[in-house]
Amino acid sequence: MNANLFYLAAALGAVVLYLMMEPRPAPFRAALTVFGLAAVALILTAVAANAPAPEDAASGAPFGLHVLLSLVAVAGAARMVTHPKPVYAALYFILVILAVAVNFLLMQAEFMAFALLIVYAGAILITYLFVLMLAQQSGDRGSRGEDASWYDRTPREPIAALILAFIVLATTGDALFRRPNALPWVASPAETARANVRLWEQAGDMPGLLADEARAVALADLAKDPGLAKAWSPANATEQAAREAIAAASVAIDGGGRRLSVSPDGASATVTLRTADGTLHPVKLDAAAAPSNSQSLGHSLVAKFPVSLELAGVILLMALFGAVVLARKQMQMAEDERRIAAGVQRLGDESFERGGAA
Amino acid sequence: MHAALLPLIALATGDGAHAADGHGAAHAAAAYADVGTLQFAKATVDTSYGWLKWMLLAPLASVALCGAFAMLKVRGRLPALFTVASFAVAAVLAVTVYRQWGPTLFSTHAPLAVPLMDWLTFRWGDGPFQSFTANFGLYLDGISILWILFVTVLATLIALYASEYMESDVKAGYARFFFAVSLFVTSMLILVMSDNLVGLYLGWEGVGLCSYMLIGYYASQPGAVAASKKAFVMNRVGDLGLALAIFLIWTNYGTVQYDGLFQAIASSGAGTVQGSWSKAAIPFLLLLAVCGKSAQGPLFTWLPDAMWGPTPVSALIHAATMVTAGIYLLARMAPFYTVQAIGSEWAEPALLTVGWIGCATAFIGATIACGQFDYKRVFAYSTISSLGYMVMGLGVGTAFGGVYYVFTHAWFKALLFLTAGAVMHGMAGQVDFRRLGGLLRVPGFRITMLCMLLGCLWLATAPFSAAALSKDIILYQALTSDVEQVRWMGWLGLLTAGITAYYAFRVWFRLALGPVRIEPGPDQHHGHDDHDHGAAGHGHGGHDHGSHGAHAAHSGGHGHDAHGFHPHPPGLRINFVLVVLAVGSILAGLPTYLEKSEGFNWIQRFVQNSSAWIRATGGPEHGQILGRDGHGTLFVLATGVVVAGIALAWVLHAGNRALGDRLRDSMLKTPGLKWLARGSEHGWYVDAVYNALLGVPLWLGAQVLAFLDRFVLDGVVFAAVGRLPGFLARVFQPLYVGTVQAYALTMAGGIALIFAWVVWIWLSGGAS
Amino acid sequence: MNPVQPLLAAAPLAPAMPANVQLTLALALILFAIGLVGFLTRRNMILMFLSTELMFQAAALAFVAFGRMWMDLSGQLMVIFILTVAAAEAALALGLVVLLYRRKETLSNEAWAELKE
Repeated sequence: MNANLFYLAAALGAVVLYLMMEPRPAPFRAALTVFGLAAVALILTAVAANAPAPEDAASGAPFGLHVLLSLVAVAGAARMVTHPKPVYAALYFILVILAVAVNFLLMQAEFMAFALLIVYAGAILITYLFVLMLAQQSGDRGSRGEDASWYDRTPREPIAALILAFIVLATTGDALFRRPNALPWVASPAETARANVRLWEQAGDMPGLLADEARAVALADLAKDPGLAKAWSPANATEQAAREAIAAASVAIDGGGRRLSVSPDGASATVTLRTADGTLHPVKLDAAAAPSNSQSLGHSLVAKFPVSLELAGVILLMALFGAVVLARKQMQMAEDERRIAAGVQRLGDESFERGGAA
Repeated sequence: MHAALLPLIALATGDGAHAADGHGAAHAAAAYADVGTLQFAKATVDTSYGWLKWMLLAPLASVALCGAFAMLKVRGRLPALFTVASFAVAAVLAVTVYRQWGPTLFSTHAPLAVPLMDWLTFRWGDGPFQSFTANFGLYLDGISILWILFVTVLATLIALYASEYMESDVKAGYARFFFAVSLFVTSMLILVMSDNLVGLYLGWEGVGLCSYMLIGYYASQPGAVAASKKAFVMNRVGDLGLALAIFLIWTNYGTVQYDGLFQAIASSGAGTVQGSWSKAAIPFLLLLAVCGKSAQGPLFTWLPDAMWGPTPVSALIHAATMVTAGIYLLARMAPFYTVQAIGSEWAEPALLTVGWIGCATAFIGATIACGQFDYKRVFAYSTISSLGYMVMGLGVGTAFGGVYYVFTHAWFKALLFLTAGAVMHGMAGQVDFRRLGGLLRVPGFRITMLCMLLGCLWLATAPFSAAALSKDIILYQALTSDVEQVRWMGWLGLLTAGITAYYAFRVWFRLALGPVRIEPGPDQHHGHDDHDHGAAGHGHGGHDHGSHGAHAAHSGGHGHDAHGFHPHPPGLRINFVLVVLAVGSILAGLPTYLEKSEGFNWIQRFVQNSSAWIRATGGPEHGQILGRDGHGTLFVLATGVVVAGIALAWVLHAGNRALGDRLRDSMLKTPGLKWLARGSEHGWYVDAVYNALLGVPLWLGAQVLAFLDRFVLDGVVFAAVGRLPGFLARVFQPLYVGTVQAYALTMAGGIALIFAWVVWIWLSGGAS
Repeated sequence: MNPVQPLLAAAPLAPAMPANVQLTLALALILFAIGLVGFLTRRNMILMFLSTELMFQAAALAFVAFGRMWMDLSGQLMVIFILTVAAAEAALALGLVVLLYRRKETLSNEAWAELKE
């Protein structure tokens, strides 16, 4: 990492952010935008300075996409924390979320990308917008009787906050990037192979999906080479009979209790299908047949983090209760009303009997 | 051994010849502390003597048991049983080791070393000054064996005596008493048997602590508490000297183990020693320690006040054990008083200082003893005087004489204290011998008084008594010395012997002879109606130390109190112990009596085969005193002064008591002699001088400090400090604006700074 | 079985593009810093909470990037929990804001400075 460039760019970004905090005329805003984006680009350049060389030419496009997404996300975030109108700020936040979601996609976290969009952009941000509009509709008095939107236009202690943020950015940047190769950045081939093996083993835990996948591959192979029909159905070597045999085949379990054997590099796996007449047919599955990201995530969630999952559920439940309790209208009830609501005898009322009218 | 001794004897006689040549005092003085090349045999390490650890563990077990009894407040006589039994075990072991190893020490100088347990072992390099070792190990040479012999045997007897003497305390501090006594003996054995100076220091502090506990045993009496504090503080002054001496010994020799230490001294050639202050300070600091522990010189005033403790304690502390620890230290560290250890310009002054302090203490103690009316205090001052003799013996160059006198003195002084205790025990705590008389004819007290007669004879160094045999060695060495100062010490010592004879028999004549006269002491109300052993109150030390005028006014009121008082004669156990001690006192002279038939004096051999041997040379075999044969002249002179002293005591205190009383009155009335009597009776006002020199300035300083504390510290400094938080609060208050973000900013700022610091350390290679 | 993957990589878990993890982490740092600035400077309580959501985003990005670097799905799983907590926080925080707004009729956090006294 080029540390001086990093600090310089971060300082430039801080200055730009400071200048953005007050409403400015349009040309000034344009200049700020340019400088801000330049600052972000410089930070990225500084960080990428000692990156390992790209492994192949195909990386060019994702790299540019990454830079573009970063610029969009930072621009949206900067606008979000500086925009004088809260609703616009919330909308800019949706822009940030979109950029982050695409970034997730680039990192092969498809499920999380869509989950982020649905939960954040779809649910949480909409709630924010509802509350914002609710508040603005009823007219904000402001805290000291000044113009209602004063507090949205005026930042609070901007310089202290920016210095603090600069320190945080600089030190975390130092911690992550200062030492060359303190982190590997790219998973080693062995690491990748182990991850692939783990992925295939997860597939072994999902027999239904695995069988479907194996049958599909077998059918595809059959379609490519009709000569295979005799192997699948020796008695009646027609393609139709072979298809039926494949459809009726089940996944054989080997002596070690495994349903599939993985190649050492994890690039492929072999599943043995057992037809109704008991013959065994190895089927080679390639990458396309591996469990998808969401399947794999789901498996990990229940297999590796079951307690955390339960706790997350409890947290959500408690948040639900909390939100209900907080948002409920506070009613002033008299003693008798409260007693009736609780189903106990009213004070001084001898005729009231528990459990209904007499 | 003989080979090692021969050059020394030759050297000593040679010096005598030089002096006779008339080479002058300077030459003789230079030779005084120069004993030639030192030689020390390396200790024989023999782990088969590991059973000696039971000598320490047996009293320690008694400590634990008595302590448990005291803590659980168990009433019973078991603690005494434990204590006597454990001491007896230690005594048996001591006699066993004496019989097994003693013959070796008769012929060769090879201490027995028995490593027991690792304690302190530090190493920070391989060089000579890069390690420190002080382990629990035993080092037995002649003087250690001598000490453990009489310490354990006397402690057993004294504990047996105390088991009867302390019976009235069975319901109170019985277990506590025996706890302290057991701990005392344990510490004393550690002190004597340890193979290094740190172990010695441990025991040294242990006996100091126990003497504090025992002197202040009657803690409800302010006098006892004050006396115990006095003893403790004065001992601390001496202990400072010991601690500093140990530090200096390590910095100079790199070890505190006796074996290595003596080798180191011996290996430094006599001519190569440079006079360095740190080496020269060692003997003087050791002497300070001796002064504190053995009640010498300026630090002796704690010992008479220590009489507040129960009488067995007096016997244990003052006769047998604790006070002789100083003599032990002096004998053990004798190599430090030689030219080879500290250079010629300091060795002689150091040795002469030892001699003069001992001599002066002996003389002053004796003169004070003449003026006391409390027989226990007389014996206390006589102890100071006797200790002075011992120190003088070491100072004038006869460790044999000093150590032998320790041995004989332990027996007869224990005997004297225990007889005094028996009298107190029977007379309800009466300690003024003017109110008692004719006890020889009181039924039940005959054995006690006869034993006391023997003790007084021994204290007076009657001819042919064990005490005389040992004391004459000291006087002979001093009087035949080449050095004029040492001869003066000898003459003063001779005069002291006469005074000693006088005051010893002053006590005995007053107590034993004359018309029967019994005025019970302050404890008589306890023992008045019940003559059972257990209920007789005693020993609560109701001594009116201060004013004797009060005594006189008091005695009139005692007349009718005496009605119905029956003396309470000592019981079987006390009499048994007294008789054993009397026999022991007589037998203490055996080494000399048997010298002719055995061919040697075994105590002399013991001393010669120890680290004290360098001072144990016999001196000129046929020295001259007043131009005549040394031995014969000394015998005549010593016998003469002793007989004169006893005769004077007879005239003034037995034959014609009225004359003695009149003499005192006329002395008090004569302005020129008034100071003599009053000074003697008040211990030459040493305490008052201390008070004026130390107490008053300290009091004034305390007043000044109290003023500073009250007005400067409380009034100014603390007030300012108290306002500081309020001031700071006002300074920082504006930061607390109340909004969440302000707190968030502060918090995040702190976290960010800490994080930045951690990252900075990490990046600069602090943690990787 | 895997509709998106062929677009991006041939192997089931091909190594990420070398600079991607670094760029993503840098982006996460910048977003976190900006979120911190927003939390400290905005006076609108809702936008303060929105800024914390931005910091959550940064954390989620870092988790995913590190997960990618080590070829481990745990990073993505953490994002699920972050989403959970963020949702719970949004529900409670907005409920609180509504409550506070009812009391003082303003979203300015300076109306709530009683802690000073």
